Amino acid sequence: MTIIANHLRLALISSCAIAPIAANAQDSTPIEAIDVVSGQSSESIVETPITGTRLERDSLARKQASTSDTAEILADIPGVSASSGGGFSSMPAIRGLSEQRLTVLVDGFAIDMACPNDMNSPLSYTDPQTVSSISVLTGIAPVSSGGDNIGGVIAVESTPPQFAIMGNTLLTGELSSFYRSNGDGFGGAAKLTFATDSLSATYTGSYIQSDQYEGGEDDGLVRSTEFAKTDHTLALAWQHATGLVQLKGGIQRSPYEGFANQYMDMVDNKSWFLNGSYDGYFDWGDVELRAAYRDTDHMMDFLEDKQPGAMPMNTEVHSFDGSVKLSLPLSMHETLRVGAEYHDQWLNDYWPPVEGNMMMGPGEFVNVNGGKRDRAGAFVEWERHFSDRLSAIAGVRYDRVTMNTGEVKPYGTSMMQMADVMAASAFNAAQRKRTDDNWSGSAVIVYELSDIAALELGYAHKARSPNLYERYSWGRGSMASRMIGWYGDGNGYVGNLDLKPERADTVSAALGLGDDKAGWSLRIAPYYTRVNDYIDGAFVQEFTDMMGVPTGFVQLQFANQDAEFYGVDVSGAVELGEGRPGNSTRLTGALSWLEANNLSDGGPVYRQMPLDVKLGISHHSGALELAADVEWVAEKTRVDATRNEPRTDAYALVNLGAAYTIGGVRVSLDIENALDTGYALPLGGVSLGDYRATGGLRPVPGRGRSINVGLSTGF
Amino acid sequence: MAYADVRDGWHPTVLAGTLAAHLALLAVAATALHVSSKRGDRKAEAVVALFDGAQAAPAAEVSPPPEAPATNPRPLPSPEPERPPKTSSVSEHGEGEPGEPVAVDMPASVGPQLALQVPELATGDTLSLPPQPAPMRPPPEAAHDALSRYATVLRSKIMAWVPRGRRKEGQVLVRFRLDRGGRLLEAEIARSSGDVQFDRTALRMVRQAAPFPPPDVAIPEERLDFTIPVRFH
Repeated sequence: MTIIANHLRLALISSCAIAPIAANAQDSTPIEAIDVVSGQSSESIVETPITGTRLERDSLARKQASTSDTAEILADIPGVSASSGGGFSSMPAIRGLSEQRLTVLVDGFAIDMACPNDMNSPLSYTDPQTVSSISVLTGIAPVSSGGDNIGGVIAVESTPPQFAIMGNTLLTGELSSFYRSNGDGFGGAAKLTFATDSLSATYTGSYIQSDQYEGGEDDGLVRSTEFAKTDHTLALAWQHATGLVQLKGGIQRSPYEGFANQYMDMVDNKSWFLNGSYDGYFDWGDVELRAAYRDTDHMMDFLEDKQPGAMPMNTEVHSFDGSVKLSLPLSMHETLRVGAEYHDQWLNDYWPPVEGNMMMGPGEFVNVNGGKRDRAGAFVEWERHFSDRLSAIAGVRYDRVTMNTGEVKPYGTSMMQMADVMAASAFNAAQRKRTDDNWSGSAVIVYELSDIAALELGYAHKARSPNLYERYSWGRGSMASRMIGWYGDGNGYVGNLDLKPERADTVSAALGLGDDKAGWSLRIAPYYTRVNDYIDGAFVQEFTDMMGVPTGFVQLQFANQDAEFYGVDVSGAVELGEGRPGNSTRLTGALSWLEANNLSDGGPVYRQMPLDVKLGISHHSGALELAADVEWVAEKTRVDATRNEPRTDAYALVNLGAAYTIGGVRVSLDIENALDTGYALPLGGVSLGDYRATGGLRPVPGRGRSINVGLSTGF
Repeated sequence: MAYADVRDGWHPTVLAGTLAAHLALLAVAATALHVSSKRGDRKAEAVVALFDGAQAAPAAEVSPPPEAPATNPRPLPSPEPERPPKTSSVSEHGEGEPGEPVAVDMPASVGPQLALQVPELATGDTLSLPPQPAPMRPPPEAAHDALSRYATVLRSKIMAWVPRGRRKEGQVLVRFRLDRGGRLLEAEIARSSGDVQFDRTALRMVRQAAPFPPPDVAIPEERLDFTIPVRFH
């Protein structure tokens, strides 16, 4: 009681004492300011400063008139490439690893696969017009950045909260629109923020649409490349004495997106989400609580280029994600991070019957019946700054992945459907529950060799469990299996209940040289990754037509194999000429070289980017911006024979751009593929949209010349 | 089952529903803004006496961690006796802004008051002296030198706790008070950066750096009140 009374007294006294404090605040002895500058590489080790890249709004804004595909923008980063899908659904690959092997976060959350062709990949829920920043870790990603992956990390941030200056209110916004001549693409975006110093509300909305594009030279129309999409998000944030609370909700709807390299097109995708987070900053450390729910309804069928015919395929996914992370400063040199995560995915995949069709009827084809994939993970990570020059970060994590699914059934039981009938009964008879215990660990050291040189060294062992389709796709009929797969190769894929998780060991080194004052930088980053039980396709049978003639397409079954990936990423920049304020001329260059071998079959791994060299020059002078870029890509001769991957020729593309800002409005004009070069996309797969219409099979051609106009303003 | 026409497939009901939902959300946001802007106004008036509001709030609110150091000041000088005669004006402030999220806590605000009072007694000034007593006795040269030396020591101690890898920009002014043993009596945000993460990080730096070496005896006790700007680039 005495203690309470004393506290009470203290409280009273303190309230009495309040007023004079302000009056006497000026008596304080001022101490010289402390500048917290995170310039040194070793300081921001958690972001792997030499192999990590961060694209800010400015650089994204310069690209938004040219593409609606976030992954395509990321492909400018050395070590990153994009495997073409639909107009806004390319799949990024980092150092040869793609799909679910990467961690892709949108506003801090993973977005689950919700399509047997992975059409609505996580980045398809982002729009370059509205993205605020993107961080890409191509090297060793610390275990705190996510589990259940064996590759790098892509973290997209859409709308970080903005607050007004103390005591004021803030009203700010951005508007943008674009038009692309090739494909008659157009779109626009709006962002509006109202905020006080503690509350903030931001609405973000965008719309994009395009028809099929034309290839370069005489490549003609590239069928099944049209798309339309709209995204709307409302983000609320409350900043209080000790932390930040955020609540974000949004919807995405895409009424159509053609896929040139798939048998199917996306004819509807609806997704809504609700995210909540709390970030607290206390004397003992930082706390991060996150929770999210997402619901996706996805439909596939044929758009006009693949007509006539119909084959509806529907996928429904519900996901929940929750996590707690603590960051605890142990001493002035050490920080300990601990965290626990839980992620739950529920997926239904069913194909309604097509009336009057013998093959696709009379009943529904149940591809995945209430598939569940739950992941519970925990990590501990330790960061230490040994000196101003040497820092290290090391961590371990454990993820337990549990998967299960219900019984399945084919369209019917006729003789023509016998392969699927037998496969379904075998699948239903099998024990389908699987549990994987995955251990991962990572260690990175950053050492500043001198004022102009820094070294980053890292090692990681990481593990990823198979996704629901890799384990639970069961159809063995030609058509059923050709509906599965996100490879754009026209082949059929059969799941495998006995798949083991992929386990990868990666060593990565990077040397960063640079002198800000002299205006130059150079980064050289070699790496080697060995993946045990890499999930690849093993040959099952050749598909034949009615006459028994091979079609060139094959049926494969997901299988654990071994693979290795090695390469080097180089990038550099030089400031040319006098750097008067507001005036600069800059030369940039990047080179990515990589090889990947399937050690089990001795051939190259599917979909690996050939040597890619980029050179660019940009000039800013007051309100005027000019840019010219050249990209040269080598011939692709290392192809995956198992999948009949097509070879592609070398090509060079020239892009020109100019922009002028007048009265706060930025007007841009870009000429993409200025020479209208005809070329095949090295990671584009085969053009099934064209195949259906013309009967000729070719690799998917890249976009021909396009004149893009962009307008943007902020207030 | 023809999907060729899907591209015109904007279902009016879906569109209307979407719009309605967004309008509703915007209305909620606008209401929140309205409420908060009212609050904002109130605070704007109190800008000069910013810490008052902040201080009153946490007392009623939560903010447990800042309170922790508040127990320290107790064993200090010997100050409880004085009760400044300003209760009324204070409580006005105090009631004004519960839930003000701005700055911080500072339960230990007793500190400065004590400091003021102690010299008053020592110099024999009358208790009724109006609230500007500090400059009354500028420290002598020796004290001044000692103070600037001490400030340098404090700065380097705090600097050792500089956080790493922060990316945004902002500037925070932290005010803190020490006792004769170099122990931290209180620390608070004197001027917010507008970003709670920076505010709390800057405050944490000072708290983590404590305790500091005991100050030189030449430094008068009322000068053990410091402000330090922390600039994030």
